[in-house]
Amino acid sequence: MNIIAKIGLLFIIIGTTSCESFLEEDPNTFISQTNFYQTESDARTACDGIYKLLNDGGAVSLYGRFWPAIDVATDDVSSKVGRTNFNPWFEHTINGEHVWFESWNQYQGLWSGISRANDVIKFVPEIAMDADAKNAIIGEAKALRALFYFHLVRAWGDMPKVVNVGSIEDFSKPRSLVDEIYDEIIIPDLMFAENVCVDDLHTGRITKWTAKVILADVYQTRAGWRRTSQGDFTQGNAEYWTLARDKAKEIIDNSPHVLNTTPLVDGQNMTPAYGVAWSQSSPFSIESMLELASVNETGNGNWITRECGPWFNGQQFWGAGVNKPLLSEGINLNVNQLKFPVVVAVGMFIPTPDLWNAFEPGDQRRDWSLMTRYTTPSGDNYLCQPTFRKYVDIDFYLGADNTSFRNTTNNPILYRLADAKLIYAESANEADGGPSAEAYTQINSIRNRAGLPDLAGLSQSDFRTAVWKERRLEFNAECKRKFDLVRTNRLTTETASIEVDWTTDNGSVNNYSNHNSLFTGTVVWPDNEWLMPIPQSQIELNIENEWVQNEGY
Amino acid sequence: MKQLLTIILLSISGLIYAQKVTVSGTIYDDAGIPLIGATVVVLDTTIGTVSDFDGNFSIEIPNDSNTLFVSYVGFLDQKIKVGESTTFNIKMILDNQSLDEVVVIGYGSVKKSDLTGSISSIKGNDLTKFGAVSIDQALAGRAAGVIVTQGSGVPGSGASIKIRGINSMTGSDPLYVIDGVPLENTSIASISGADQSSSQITPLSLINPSDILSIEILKDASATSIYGSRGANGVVLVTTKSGKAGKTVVEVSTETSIAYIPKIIDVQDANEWNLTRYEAYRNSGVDVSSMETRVDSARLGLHKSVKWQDKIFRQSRTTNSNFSVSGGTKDLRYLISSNYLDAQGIVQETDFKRISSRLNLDAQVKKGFKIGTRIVYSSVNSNQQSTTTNWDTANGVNSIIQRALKTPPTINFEEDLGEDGTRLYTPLEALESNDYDNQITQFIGNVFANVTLGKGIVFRTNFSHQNRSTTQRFYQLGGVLPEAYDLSGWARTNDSKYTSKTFTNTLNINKKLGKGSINGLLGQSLEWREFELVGTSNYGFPNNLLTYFSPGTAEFNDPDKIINFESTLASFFGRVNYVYDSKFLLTLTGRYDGSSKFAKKNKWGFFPSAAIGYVISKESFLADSETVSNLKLRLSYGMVGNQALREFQSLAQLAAGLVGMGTGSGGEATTPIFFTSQLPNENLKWETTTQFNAGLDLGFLNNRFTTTLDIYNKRTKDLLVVGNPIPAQSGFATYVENVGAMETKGVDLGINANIISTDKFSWNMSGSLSTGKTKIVDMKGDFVQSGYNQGWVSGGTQRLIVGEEIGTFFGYKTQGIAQFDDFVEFQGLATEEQIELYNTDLTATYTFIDDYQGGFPIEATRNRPGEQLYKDTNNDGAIDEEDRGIIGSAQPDFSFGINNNFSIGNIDLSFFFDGQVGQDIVNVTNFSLLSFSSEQQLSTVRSAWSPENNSNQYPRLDQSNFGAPAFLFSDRYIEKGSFVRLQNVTIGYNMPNKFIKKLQLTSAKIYVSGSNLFTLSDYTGFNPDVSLGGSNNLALGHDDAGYPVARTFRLGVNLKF
Repeated sequence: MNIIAKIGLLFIIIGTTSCESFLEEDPNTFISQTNFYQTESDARTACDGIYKLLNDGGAVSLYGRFWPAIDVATDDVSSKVGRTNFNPWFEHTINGEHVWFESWNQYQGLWSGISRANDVIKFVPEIAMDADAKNAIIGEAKALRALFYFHLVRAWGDMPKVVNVGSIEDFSKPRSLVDEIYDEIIIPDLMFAENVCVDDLHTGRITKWTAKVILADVYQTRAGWRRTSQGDFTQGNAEYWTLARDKAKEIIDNSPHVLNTTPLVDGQNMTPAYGVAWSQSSPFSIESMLELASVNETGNGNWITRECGPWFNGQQFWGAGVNKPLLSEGINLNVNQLKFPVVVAVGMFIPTPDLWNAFEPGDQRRDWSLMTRYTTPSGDNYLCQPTFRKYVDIDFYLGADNTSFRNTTNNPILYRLADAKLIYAESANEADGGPSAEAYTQINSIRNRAGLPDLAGLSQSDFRTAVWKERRLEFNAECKRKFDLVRTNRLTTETASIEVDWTTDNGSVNNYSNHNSLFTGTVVWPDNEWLMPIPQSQIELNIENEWVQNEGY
Repeated sequence: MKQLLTIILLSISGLIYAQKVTVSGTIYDDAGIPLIGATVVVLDTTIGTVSDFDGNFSIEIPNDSNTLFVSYVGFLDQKIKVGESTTFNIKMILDNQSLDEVVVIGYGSVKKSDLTGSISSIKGNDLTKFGAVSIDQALAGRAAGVIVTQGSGVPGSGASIKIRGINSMTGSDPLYVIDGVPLENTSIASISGADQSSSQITPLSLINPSDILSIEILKDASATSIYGSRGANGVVLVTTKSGKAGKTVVEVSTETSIAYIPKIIDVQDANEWNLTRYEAYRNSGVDVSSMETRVDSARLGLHKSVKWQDKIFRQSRTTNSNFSVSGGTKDLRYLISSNYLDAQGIVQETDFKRISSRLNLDAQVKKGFKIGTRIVYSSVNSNQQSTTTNWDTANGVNSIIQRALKTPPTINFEEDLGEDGTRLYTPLEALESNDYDNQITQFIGNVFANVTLGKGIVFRTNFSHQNRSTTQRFYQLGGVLPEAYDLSGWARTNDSKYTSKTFTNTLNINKKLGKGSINGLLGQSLEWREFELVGTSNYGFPNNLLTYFSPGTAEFNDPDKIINFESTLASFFGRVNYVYDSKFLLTLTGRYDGSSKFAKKNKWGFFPSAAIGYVISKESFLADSETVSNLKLRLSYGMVGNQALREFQSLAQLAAGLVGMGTGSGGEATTPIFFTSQLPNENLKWETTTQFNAGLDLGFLNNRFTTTLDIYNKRTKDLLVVGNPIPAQSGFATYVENVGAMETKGVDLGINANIISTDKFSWNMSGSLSTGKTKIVDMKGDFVQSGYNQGWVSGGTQRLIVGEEIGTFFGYKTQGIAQFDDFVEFQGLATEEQIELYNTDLTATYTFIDDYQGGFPIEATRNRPGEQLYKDTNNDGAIDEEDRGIIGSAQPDFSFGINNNFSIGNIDLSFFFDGQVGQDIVNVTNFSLLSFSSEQQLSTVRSAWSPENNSNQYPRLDQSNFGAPAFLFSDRYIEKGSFVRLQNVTIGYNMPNKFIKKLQLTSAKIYVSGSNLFTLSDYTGFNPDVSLGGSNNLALGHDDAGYPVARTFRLGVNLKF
């Protein structure tokens, strides 16, 4: 038995050495939360992680790829023939099972952003670092959280109030009324941010001026119409016009931002002053207030160039290939020979002729924004179907080395100084009972830059209409159209008769239709589609939280 | 030497007593191998002898005796009458049902008669009959309670094995223990990333089936709880062959086989496709005038077709050779084996080559001290194609089998498809452009020592090391695929290594206590596992010359990836077997496991079990019964665990990345980011399965007929759910947590009958039957989706509903097709008038008649004849999510296997049926092939509804049927999956002894064998035996044109020297 005792001892020794440290997990390939949030650099990288959700450079991305669908089937945006993804948009049979909700992450991505912002807001205060820098970072996180919520309440209505995620209890919540989200989250967050964020030009991160322009937009939106999740139409309190006017004025008067007013000339290529903000060679122009940097690296570019091109050549717009449309300029090439070297013609988001027609003669914004022709610095000419220029990485179209549709580098811009100007013009007109001189100044500065003459002597109502029109043209392809139509209670009126077929009247050589055949331009947006349906899976996952689908779905 | 001496002495004694008759002969087994040491005694005397190395014996029998009694362990006893003849060739018949047979159990072995748990045994030579590459595939139908689903025919791919139903959401793969060492069995993920795991190469395919002596499958808690936290899915113990003392046995076998696809899916030819397409567009209101010419020629059958399936499938050839030498002395026994397998797949450019070498050594160093080793080195080289179900169509690596089914059968793509769609690539372009190369090497070294510390006390220590390296290379040629998919060359490499170490110490004590005996086991083990993968991806190459060897020339470099996992397991375990009077049996087992994978406060778990057995046949009233030779009752109850979970799941993980940001000086660049990538779960803990088992073993007529019947009830709680969907407002899509419980009740029945057993002719039949369906008994709610959802099926194809089975299909119910008479506008019209009205506007909508009773189309804009109707379950006059319900179940009601072995003289014949009955399959491929749109369709779609042909089965063709929102997941895609399959027929011929002697062989056998010969099933896909999700229990019963299982014919030779 002596030997058994020894064996027993051996067992005991092995047993005690295999203590808890043997079973402790020490991952090599990622950081665990407890080791993080120690330094200012940790705070910075965590905060920068929030921006990633706006343009994540991947196959599902908000501004990097699919968010522009919010405007599809308005009077501005169509999809090309055969592009069936948005059939329900055109037929107005949207339901919560569509891929846009379920797979393309357009709802979920916003919440991921809120979750990352919540982490920063929760953990960064404990880091020992410079107080101003710390507040600026928390301010950025709060402004971004507000921005994500602002998207959610405008697109989907009532939302749960989630301001912390550490456990299931933190997010197992019923939907709260839109007003509560504004009053308790969006507005306080932005008011915090406008006071603590850096006072500087925008170079990718939220500044105090970015926070203010979002806040001005929020105020203006709250002054307008919306449809509640319960199906009621409601108009906001008029006092928000004043708040919007004053917030916009702060930006106009005190911010370092000005409009780009100088055209960019590069050899024979000329970008009008209006288009300079999107110039890939000079990102973050002085006008930009929230711009998303797209970098030519896998996962850090965007895919939007791929989605916007309607066709490989401009044949239908410019006429058949043999016509040699630029012969008058001495260019003896047919349309097919003048096509861009590379176009991935998915055509999810293409401009309507209705939008083309809305431009006044001489408006430089039309020919630049709705691109049908491009001249390179060295004088080569390319022709295409009307394509939203703001979505195009021209280097990719030109077949430049090192370009791929997976990581095009044109930057989406969410807010510009023009936002502040037009918010001011619109809200001042409402708050002051008519257009003030300052209101004219702001709208005319926008018009003048586009090569249009001043407006003058308009009634309150005419001025209102003029600003609405100006917003439509100035912000084309900036994902603001549907929200504007809802806010101004024009979603049904403006969509009842949309010109969808190109004719010789709107610049085309041919009469042709290149849009999804279901887009007739005569189907009025139904009331329920003022709001998107909550993704069906989310309704099901939130049954215990007593979620109910938006009325009408 | 002693034996020889005995024989010599006995022979001499025979000379002395000259009045006695000398009888001599040779004793050999049923395979013709001489049996050494068989006992020959003269009946009712003490005169006896044993056979020598060559199986020869010689014995003198007294004049008053005339019967010899011959016995050998593991064989049936024989009585030989001695008459005129004095020389005998005695063939011993294997006693399969011997109760003295020793059964391998966890960390030991036990006499079958003393067994209390539920265990099935399979002999190695039954496994090799199919020519399966991997042992898991060969288990189908072989053991009661084991359901094998061969989801893919990719050479070397794993099968899904479920022992007694489903125990876990995270996977039901049993624990494989090879020669006492748990094998790491994580399938090697495919390089293409988005695969659904159905055709990954399993590490089991690195084990040569010919090396296997036996497989034991542990099923109930009593048998499995010794493996504690890994026992819940059952345990498969594999024992490899080892050398026997005596004459050296050299065994050489080789076989060659051909295989081909047993079934081709009937899709449209080019003419049908053109007609369908025309009609689909016309019905959707599109101007089809430009298609008229082509349709006219299609009506005349003038279009040439491409049969894509014929282009990608082939008749494949396989050769498999084994060589082994075994033997040794009493103190040193060895087995050396080598295997070379060169298998082609039936899909072009897929193959699997394996070289495996093994050394098994057992040495008796001195009395009371034994040492041994099991060393195996295997290497696999396998070319593959994308044959699984990744959805990466954008990058041109989507499954070529799906592509073969879905690609239009037309030769001239661009011309025929026109400019209205981005041209897809053809299966041949995919085949040509994509090249996958996998190399896997695995080394398992296992060293053990047994030290006898005293009478009946043995200490065993075992150290083993498993090291597996995988090299995966992928290159997609630039310039082959259409522009939209072409990446100008795409190179991906993955290099991974897997290492595990196991250190086990056990103490085994055997003691007699009066009429009882006790066997105790006490053990401890430590395990370490580590995995690391390094992967690169680059694309945009100037040419294809250097493929993946030149990442520096690529325009785009995806970030390199490194994955690393480590886990540890510390365990203490013990078992007591008490046998009283060979009649009453008691087993107590327990294991205390600590795993690194769980939350800090939940690392350790204890898993006990108890079992009793009562051998009624040992009672006096049955002891002398001729009829009932064995009657044993077994009861067991216990808990086992499951830790099938990836590492680090309880921790809040932060992932790193990059985001584009302005530099502040006019430029832009990426900057690093960190973000929470996983919600922490500080409560993460074991799954626990509690199982009750009642078993009855019966044997009749000296165990010629035996049955084993087990009834069990299992309940698993704290289910680990990895992809548990959580509300989006959490910021995450899924969460790892312990949720809910499930239950399986079932019956396993095994029978064996030696119906005829004579020297010249024998017939053995064995069979198994298993029932057991797993139901959810507790879940967060009835809305947890599972199954399949690739952006197509909102809510998934299946749901976890409390009270229903796992694998319950959830969707819409079809209810016929709308007909003319269902609409007000068509009332009172003659047929021609109805057709005329319908043709005036193909997209018009009509009004349902007042007392309409049928179903509805998916939306009111489709209220017209010819549309698919769905059942309006909630009677609200419209079809919406609320109308969905249960439309099928993926679990079979029962599964069975029947094996027959005949032996007629020198000829062996066996045939084996298996089957599963009662399960449903969702044919995911038909989401496209039965979409009634212009996409390629099944041929039967030509019978779709038209005004002239008012089908009530298929709706009218309509281009808008394809894709959302028209696509609804309904019972249209659910099919009956029941099947009975003639899995194998083997005919073998044992060369006659004379011939063998001439060639100096001890045995020679030639055989032909056919596998997967015939399947009786209504299922329209390739195989009814499907598992798109591999062993993923949340996606049972899905088929998306997986790699078909081939029909195989083999011819082989087996020689022993």
